[in-house]
Amino acid sequence: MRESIDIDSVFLAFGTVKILRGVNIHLAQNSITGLLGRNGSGKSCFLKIITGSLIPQSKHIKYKGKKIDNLYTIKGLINYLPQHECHPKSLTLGKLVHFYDVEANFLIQSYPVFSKNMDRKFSDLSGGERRIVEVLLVLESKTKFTILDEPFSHIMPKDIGMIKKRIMELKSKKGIVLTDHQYRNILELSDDLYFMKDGSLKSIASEQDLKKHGYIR
Amino acid sequence: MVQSLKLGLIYSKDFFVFSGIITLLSFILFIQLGTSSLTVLIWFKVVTNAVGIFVHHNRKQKEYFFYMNIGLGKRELISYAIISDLAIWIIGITILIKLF
Repeated sequence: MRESIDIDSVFLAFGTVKILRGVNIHLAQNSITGLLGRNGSGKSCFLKIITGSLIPQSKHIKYKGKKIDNLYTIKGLINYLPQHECHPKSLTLGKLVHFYDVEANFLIQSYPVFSKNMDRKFSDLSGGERRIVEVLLVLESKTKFTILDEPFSHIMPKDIGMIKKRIMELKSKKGIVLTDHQYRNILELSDDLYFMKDGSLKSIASEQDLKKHGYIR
Repeated sequence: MVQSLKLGLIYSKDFFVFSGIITLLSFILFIQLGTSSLTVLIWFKVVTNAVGIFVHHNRKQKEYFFYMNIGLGKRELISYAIISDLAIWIIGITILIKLF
């Protein structure tokens, strides 16, 4: 059965500066939701609110018809990749794969970054390789929903293509939320696309809508 | 359970180095100064632990999502670090009290 998460009435302010003013969104399994917005519009704040790491002035989250404060309290429901690196540098790739409970053979056969580096420490990889590893571990992990904040940063085009292909394949198993400034990738992947403007989400159907909102020329 | 302990250890490693030095110092001071120093040493341990865990928590901010993705929250990790360290300290001081 297709599961969903409903988030509404999200209000966030820092002092007198209002960031989010009543944001509402519906996230569904087997669906890719894209979020675009200018720098400082509140996209990452909103994602952190969903994951419970930022407490807003108000929020209302429902899962399976029940109100819930922190989605992480339900095991296997969500995982999240922030913009910055978040994995202990001293761990080897093999250890990271083990902790994420992802099939090691599948990763080694499917992705060159894993086939060469399972015994290497995370810190020994290049910045781009570390980002690819982080994105793939979080994607391949068996959660019902995955949230990726700027997954394509610091990654070369060929590997972005590989990640996009995998996101489309995994759509059949999970709900995926994406945000990135490489808007064409988000446009291409998303079933539902939103633009964060003036503290709320506007539905986007095409590049024309993004031009209308002043995100692109 | 075993995975949680392993992750707790990975998280706490740096904190244990600092708190281990404090624990060792506490034991040496206790041996030198005797039972009368116990109250001071308890406060010494509590205050240094509080400072240590505060600094450690700030240093580890960026890694918390890794642990949360695997099923361990901030509270569990911090509790693991503090309880493990205090347990070692209490056991050590108790043994020293009995010996001296």
